[in-house]
Amino acid sequence: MQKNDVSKMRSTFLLKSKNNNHYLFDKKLKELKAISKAEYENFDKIESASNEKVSSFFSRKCQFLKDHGYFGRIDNLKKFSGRLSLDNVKYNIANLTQLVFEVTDRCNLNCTYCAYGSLYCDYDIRHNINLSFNEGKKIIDYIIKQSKTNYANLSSKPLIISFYGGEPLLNFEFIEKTVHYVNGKEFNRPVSFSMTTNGLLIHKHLDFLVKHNFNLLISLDGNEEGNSYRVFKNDNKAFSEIKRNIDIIAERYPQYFKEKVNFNAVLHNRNSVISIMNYVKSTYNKIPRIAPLNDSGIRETSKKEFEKMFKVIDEQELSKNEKYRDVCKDLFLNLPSFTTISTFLLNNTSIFKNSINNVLLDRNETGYIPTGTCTPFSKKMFVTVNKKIMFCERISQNYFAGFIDNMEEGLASLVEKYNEYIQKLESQCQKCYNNDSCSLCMYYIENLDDKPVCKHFTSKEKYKNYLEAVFTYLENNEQNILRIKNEVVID
Amino acid sequence: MKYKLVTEPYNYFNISDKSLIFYNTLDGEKVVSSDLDIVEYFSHLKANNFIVKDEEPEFALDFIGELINKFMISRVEFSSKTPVTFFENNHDLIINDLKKLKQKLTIDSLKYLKKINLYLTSDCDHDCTYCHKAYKQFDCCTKAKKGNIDFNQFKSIINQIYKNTEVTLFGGDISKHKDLVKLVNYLYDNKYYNTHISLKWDTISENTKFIQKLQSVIHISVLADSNQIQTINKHKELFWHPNITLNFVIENKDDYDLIQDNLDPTILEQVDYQLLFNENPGFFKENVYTDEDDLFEQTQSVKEIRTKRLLNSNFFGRLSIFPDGSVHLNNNDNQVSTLSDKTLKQVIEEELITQKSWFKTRQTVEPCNKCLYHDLCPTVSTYELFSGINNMCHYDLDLNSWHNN
Repeated sequence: MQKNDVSKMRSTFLLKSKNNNHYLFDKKLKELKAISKAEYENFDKIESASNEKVSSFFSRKCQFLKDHGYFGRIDNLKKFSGRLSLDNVKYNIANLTQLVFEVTDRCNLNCTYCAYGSLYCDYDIRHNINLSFNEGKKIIDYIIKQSKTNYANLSSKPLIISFYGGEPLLNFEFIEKTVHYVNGKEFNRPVSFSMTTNGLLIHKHLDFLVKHNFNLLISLDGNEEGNSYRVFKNDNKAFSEIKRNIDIIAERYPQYFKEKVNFNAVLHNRNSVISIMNYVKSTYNKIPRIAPLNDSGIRETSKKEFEKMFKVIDEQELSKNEKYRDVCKDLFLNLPSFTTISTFLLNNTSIFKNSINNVLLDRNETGYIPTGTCTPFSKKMFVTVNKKIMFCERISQNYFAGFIDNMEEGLASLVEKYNEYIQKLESQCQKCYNNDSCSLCMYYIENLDDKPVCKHFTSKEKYKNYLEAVFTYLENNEQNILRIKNEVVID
Repeated sequence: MKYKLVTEPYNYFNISDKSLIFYNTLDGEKVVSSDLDIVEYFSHLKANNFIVKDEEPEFALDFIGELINKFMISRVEFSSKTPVTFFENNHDLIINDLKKLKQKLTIDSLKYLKKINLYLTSDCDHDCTYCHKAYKQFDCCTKAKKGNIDFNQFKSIINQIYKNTEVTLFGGDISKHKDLVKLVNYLYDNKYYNTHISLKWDTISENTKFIQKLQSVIHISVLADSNQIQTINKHKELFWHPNITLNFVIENKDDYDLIQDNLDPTILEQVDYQLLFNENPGFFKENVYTDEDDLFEQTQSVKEIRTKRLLNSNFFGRLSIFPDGSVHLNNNDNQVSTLSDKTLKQVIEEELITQKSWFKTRQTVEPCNKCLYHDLCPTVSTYELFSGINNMCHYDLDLNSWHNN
């Protein structure tokens, strides 16, 4: 395709659902219109420049719609011409909502699928070291300083300070000092604490965690069999000790347990959505977050082992289970169908955006940054045990913004590098029909430094099929639109 | 065969007890009917955006034909599943916002504050007849509330708002505020450039140097009075500045003619007329009331109509602070707080949740809520709040028709 062809992407789609309903959907106007079969067929003839006879009424109607913006074209060159600026990054830091410390790379477990284990190759080598409090303090001071600059907005969105590992409780000294330091400092907004833990040391520090109202996310893959990849260094299973500690929290601090403790489960070949839900819900009356293994950065020699363990949430399979309806109710946005539909509704309708903004602000149709990548630090800042400053813990540790001691200098090169990657992907994004609903982080794309190819690229035909599937789903699950409308909050 | 009559997504529809309107937001075409059978037939559209029927009744055929022909509705076959539509009613919009506001996840409420009127002092030697009335009708000085905003209070207010918020400084007579230069410099030093200053016409010559340094838009309030006009003409060169607007308060056609006939033509372009409601309903009926031509002169988009259904675009995003420290979201409404009681952020968050002043839509006031045109009509004005006449328009609800003024 020639460069100037990109701007010829059609905006209007004529669609037919599996239930035999017909639609006209306009991507640019974000408008959906139920149409009759005759309207569908006549518009289709006009659009495909067929020689077949077209009814004069529909010919007139089609022209009317064209005169008022339907059947237009999307100028993707303009629409996706945005680039990251240093100001974007400074704004994000000044208004940071989560600061995550990798307080140690040590762990008292040796989980088979660990993101820092033998399956993966895109992380810094583990040296059994801790992050010192003095390093963490530098970042906290930096964040406080930035939150007083002109980049800071006037919202009082809370800042969450999170502790991550390895197993963070192996460096409790860091956590304790940080909490005391933060509590003694003046922030321009509320601050809270959270921690992701395997739960093995929790009984030793429980009083402290409760006192400081920590949100706890405990890794638990369901029942004993489901947890069997979570093992000690001697290969002994850790399940019973983890369970004992969770029970201690529930017993000693029932209210805290109810309000502040959640579970995080990895889906793999030894558990299932149903088994995880069954166990966690019936034992602790909690709905766990369920996620598959990260499929980027797999070591070449471990690919077979990874494939054996890897499993995604298969909703078709799940729907055959008698508990599917309950699972849907509980997991909601954890299920791919809900995520797909929510993403579609978010990007293509106005139904669950803040409606005051919707009516007051003009929709800007130009200058988007291609891909579904967050702008750095818009969601969090991740500080590694090796003093690297990153903007996410889920991406390869090769992509970092700088080090604790040269934070400022690192930002300019981060922006340059980010835009360099965007530039490489831009032409694919401009031709992709799903470009405005993309949720793919570019840092997951292979060969980003060389010639990256996006596996999520969506052709016109594929997009049309996707739309038809979306509308069929919405027709069959009308009640879900209401639930998404009422419960999903876009941050 | 069963089918649905579906309204097009760009079509606006409303129904009252006695009539209905279909309005095409793409070309501004409208179809209105007062036939009660038709009104009853389409009453289902109020809650949905479609009607399911086996057959169309004889009496409605022509009407339906007209709507289809004007691309306002379509006939769509009835499949086993209802087609998806993203029909929104006002209730949805508000509920959705409230829910999100209460969760306070997405809200940086101060970004909604677009304009702040800051009445710095009530000191003033003038004794204008409209002093206690005009400030409730349009942006104007007043000494209705006594006191002074001191420098520290001023700093505290300014530090709470975004730099692009429009700030207008009013008196009394603000040239009597002892710290005026300091306050204005504070604004400029802190990059608050979207500023307006309201001055008395007779203080201009005394404050020429100060005015020349101002980077703000300057509003000078003047009465339609021969003496004032003559004095202004005498010093006309003082007003030859693009940032200066002369705000003439007028109550009738004679006032208007007086200005047009007597003000020096070189400053006439800088004049802005502010109509004062003061026992002069005839003048308002002629110049302010909405008639049918006004309403349909320009095609209204779905977004414009939705805005009017959701909020009051005249009031939304504005607040006033008076010299006594009282905070008002609308000068016709009671104070919502004082400077010492709540931060501006708290005031705005409360308003976004309780939805009183900024959300005064036609649907919330009598008798407009019963009117077929309430979503198409301009949003409720300060004149209507001040006068208590909520329907400053030429539509007769009882007769169900427009009448000549």
